[in-house]
Amino acid sequence: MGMETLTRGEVYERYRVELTRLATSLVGPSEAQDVVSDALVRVMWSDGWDQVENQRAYLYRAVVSQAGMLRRSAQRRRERERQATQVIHGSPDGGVDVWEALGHLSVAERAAVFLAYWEDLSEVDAAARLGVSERTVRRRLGRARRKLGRLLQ
Amino acid sequence: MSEDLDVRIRVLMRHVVDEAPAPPDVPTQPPLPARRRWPVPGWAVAVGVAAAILVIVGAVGLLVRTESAPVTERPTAVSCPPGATPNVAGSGSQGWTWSPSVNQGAVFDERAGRIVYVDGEGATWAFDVCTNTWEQRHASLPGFEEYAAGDLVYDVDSDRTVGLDLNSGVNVYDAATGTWTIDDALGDRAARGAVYDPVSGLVVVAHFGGDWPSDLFLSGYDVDTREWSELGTIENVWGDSWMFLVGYSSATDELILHGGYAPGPGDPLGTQYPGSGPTTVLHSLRNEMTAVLPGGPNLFSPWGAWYPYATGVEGAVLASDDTYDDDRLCRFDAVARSWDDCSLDAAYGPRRNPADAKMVYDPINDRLVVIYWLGDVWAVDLDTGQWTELVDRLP
Repeated sequence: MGMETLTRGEVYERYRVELTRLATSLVGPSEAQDVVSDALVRVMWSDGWDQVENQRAYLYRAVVSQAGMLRRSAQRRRERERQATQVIHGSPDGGVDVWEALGHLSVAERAAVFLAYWEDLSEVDAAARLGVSERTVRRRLGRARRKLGRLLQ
Repeated sequence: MSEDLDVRIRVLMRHVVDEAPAPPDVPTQPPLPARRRWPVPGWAVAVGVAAAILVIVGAVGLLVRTESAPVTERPTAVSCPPGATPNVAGSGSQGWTWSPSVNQGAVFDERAGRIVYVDGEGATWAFDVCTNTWEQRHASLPGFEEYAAGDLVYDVDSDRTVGLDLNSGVNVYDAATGTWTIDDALGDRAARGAVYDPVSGLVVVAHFGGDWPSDLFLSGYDVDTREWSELGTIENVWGDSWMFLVGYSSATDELILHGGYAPGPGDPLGTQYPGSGPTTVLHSLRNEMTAVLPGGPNLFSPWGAWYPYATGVEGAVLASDDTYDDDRLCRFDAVARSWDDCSLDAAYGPRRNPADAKMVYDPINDRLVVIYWLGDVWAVDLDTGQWTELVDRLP
């Protein structure tokens, strides 16, 4: 399969929606745009970008990394997310605060959950997307499921 | 129950994704470097003005570094006050009364222009690199425990020094007031080195912990918000080896981790630690290792390695060689990705166990300062490798 050559703009156009969704699952809607923007600026304009073979996976990792490095003002973030929070009506447990539930997961665990439960990727594919081992994805999913299982019972 | 949980998680993720905002606008032209700028203290401004005047009047002699430009601006170097003799030993022990211990910490406070040093009993000292004198700033670190000051990191953002208690917590020191506060808990994390990352503004800590002790985790601590972030994992490669985070290169925007132990007289097979010998790992802080480099100096304990802050393309490690008492000074070139031949030991210092010392980079005098546990302080000239004793050891 020949490698498709895309401009930076074309790469972003192709993946921007899914990257923003990923960021939303990692840091919430109020910070998602900043995370995507910061991550993409950081990696797409780095010297080595043209040598990146799997640009989609690289962008995923950049967003996850940026989410992890996001400097949060705890109080400000909580306040913003409290305002953005919606209680799920008719949700699996009849009323779980989705952001509070996700707040029990690490950024890495959230990324794994996003890929497995939203993008329906296998553990192998999720591992490739995140640049980690399959074992890592499996254990992150395991931890996430244990945590969410307690909350969603 | 398992399938039911899967369904619940899928529904939860749908609600999450439903809230995703519109994708942001990302510039299609290269942006200016989005680096955090180092704060410029008042004295640096004064130096900048003076330098500008010199240029205007046609003064010569200013050296401009033109090699690979670091992406992070460093504080402008400043000179000692007129009449200062930074290479002349200070007088006497200068009230230097601390109790010897290897469990020390040292870091250069860029705004104060002095070295912050915590001795083995938890007392905090300031070392003036222009007069080579000590001043006690705090009598006892609150909640001090063994290893309390194992790693000190100067946090540029908050202008405070972070001390990582290898047992239980994070201590934060304010040099302006000479006060410590215990800020947060490390939990089950056993720190293996820490550096300041000027890009994220976080203090990056390498540590073991969690369910898989064979992994080395990287976490970022935000002094202002007192929050931790996960920055990456180095998995299952070095096991429970002595791998340490020894520095951050602003030239390559990478963390430098180094560890392992080669065969030597005390360990002929190199089996006490991984037999593959010393290894250097470079990490991008984007959850990826960018290089794994075999070789480099032996490190035999967490106290054997120090990386002076932001020396451009270079970092230095004071490391043991083949024997316990033979300290050598080795430098790592982050751009060339290689260690030098440890030739900076041309004129040896006290040749004691490097585990008994702390080493920091002194940007004012562009030298390394090595503080030994017996109280003597040495300067190492980075060009000649010459060691100069700045403070005599305790009687």
